[in-house]
Amino acid sequence: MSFRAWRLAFKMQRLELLLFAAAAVALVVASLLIARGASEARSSFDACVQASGSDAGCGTSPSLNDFSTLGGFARLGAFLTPYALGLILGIPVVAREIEGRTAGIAWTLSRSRTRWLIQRALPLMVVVIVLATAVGIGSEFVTRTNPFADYAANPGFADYTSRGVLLPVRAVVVLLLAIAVGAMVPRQLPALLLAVGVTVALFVGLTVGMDTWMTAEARPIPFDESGRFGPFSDGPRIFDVAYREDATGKVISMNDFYNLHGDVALPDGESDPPGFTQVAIGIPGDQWAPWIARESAVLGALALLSGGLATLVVARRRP
Amino acid sequence: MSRIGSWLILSFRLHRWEVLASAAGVAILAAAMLWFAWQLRTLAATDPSCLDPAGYAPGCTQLGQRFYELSSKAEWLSYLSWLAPFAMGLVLGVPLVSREVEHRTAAIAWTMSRSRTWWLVGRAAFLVVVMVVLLTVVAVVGEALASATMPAQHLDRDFTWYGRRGALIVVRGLASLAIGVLVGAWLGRVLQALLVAVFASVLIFSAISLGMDRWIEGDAVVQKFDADRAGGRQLGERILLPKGELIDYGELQRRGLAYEVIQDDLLWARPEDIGHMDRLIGYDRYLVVPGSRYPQIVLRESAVVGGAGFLLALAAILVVKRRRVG
Repeated sequence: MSFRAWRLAFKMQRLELLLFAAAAVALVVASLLIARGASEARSSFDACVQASGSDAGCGTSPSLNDFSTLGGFARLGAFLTPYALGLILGIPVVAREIEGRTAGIAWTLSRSRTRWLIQRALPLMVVVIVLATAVGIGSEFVTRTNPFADYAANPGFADYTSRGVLLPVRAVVVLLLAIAVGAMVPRQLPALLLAVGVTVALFVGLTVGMDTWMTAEARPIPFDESGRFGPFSDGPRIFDVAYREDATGKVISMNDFYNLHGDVALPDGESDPPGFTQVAIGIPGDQWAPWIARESAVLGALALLSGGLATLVVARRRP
Repeated sequence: MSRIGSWLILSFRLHRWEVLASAAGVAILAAAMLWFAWQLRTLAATDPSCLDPAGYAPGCTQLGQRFYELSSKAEWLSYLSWLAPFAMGLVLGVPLVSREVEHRTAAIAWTMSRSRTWWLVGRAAFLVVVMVVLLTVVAVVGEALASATMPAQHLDRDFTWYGRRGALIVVRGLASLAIGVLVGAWLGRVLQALLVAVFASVLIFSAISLGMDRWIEGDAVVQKFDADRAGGRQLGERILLPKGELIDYGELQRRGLAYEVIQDDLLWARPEDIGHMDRLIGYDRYLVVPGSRYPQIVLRESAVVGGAGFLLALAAILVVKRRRVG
């Protein structure tokens, strides 16, 4: 690809690219500041608790709650980033040319329509990968410095849809999907609305599919009652809570338990019925990497399909 | 055909996709909310005593759990009804002028009309009607779902699901429409305008929300930490100093008033100070706007948002009157 093609691709969507770049930089800087602030506040709180033996009078300003709330906003921004990038940058690639009646000229001037599409889409793909990766890294810091968890070493599945490698992969899928929808519905706003609907349906389907897959491979995870931040420390993905029969080790769902035994009065001070122990059903946090690889592979296949569809539609449609 | 009929048909044709998408979205959302409301009411009717938050009734575990699971899912829908006015306002408002400019048809449309203002008012009026009708459905169904989810609460004087039910949804939608029209008229390109309008909406509505939070502090009452705050809008913890001054924890820290012990609702610097009222730092309190103020607060925010929307609409008229056609 020539330098001229790259420059043209950026010029076509200058304002959108500038806005997204500015928003991504702001989000990354905010994430890093929140992570640093949360980390310092937590250290100061922990040191105070250790020195005084109590958490009274150890509050920080801004408080740990404030950092938790700010971190939530940063993670929400990171979660939305791939969708916003992909949809807003992808839709006009073909739709604006057809809507503005310039597609005929653009396609005739290029060696082939496929080549034209690649020249338009490739620079955008690079931009969404760079921006989404930067946001994903910023968000990774926010998760690892969560003031109410010990995720510094391994966050596992905690906030896994709003951090790390999944963000650029999702952004590429949404970009190619939006280009395909824009090529099929050559009016920008209707195409955007349709692409939003298709993206929501696709990712809800993907989430349900992945959850079903994970549920099938989920296993009992014992509660750790001594944990400082709840019963799980390494960010497992929990799908259900069940009872394990102490004598046999057999795991029985809550619903089945109530159907079999009805409401059982719990002994004083006990949280489990006699002879049973509550366990979580899920995937341990140390299994995060292989599962992300699987989800990325599924998303990669979807990206190839979307790209192929966009190429096919552009090659065959009237200008 | 009457003038109103031809106006309706022309306006619909110009915004067919956006109007149909909005109507479909509202229909799906309303159907889902009504289904959940019906399920929750059916469940509640099987044994109303099980849903009494005041006490534990034996044999209610399974019913209570099912009700809780269902109402948790229903609450997600309430967030969609919170989002609906912003999304709908921008999707309908942004292309109103920007599409005409982008397609270079603005010159024809504006020349054929009595004036640009007249043209804009005529086009926007149709979208206002569409939005009021659709968002009223969302607002009413939101109320129905809220009452099914919280059967024991008096929601006419309760801040729960604030902005996710009732009239505020409609007013916010109209203000978003004005933002969309203004930004669309200013930029003249649909997708760019949509992106900028999203940013502008976040800024404007965040500013209004923060301003309202400060304003309603005047309506708040100081409550004991363990008092019943159900239905109230909680503005956070405060410390009531012995001199009667009310400060927050940040201010307490800035003044160097470190406490080590909270006993009941009393803050003491050291354990040995307990019981010596002359060494008391202050009382732990909560600042709450009582639920009984809900109608007034909604009315007040509606007036603020509506006023802001009106000003934005005037600005949009000004931009359309002065802008170049291409």
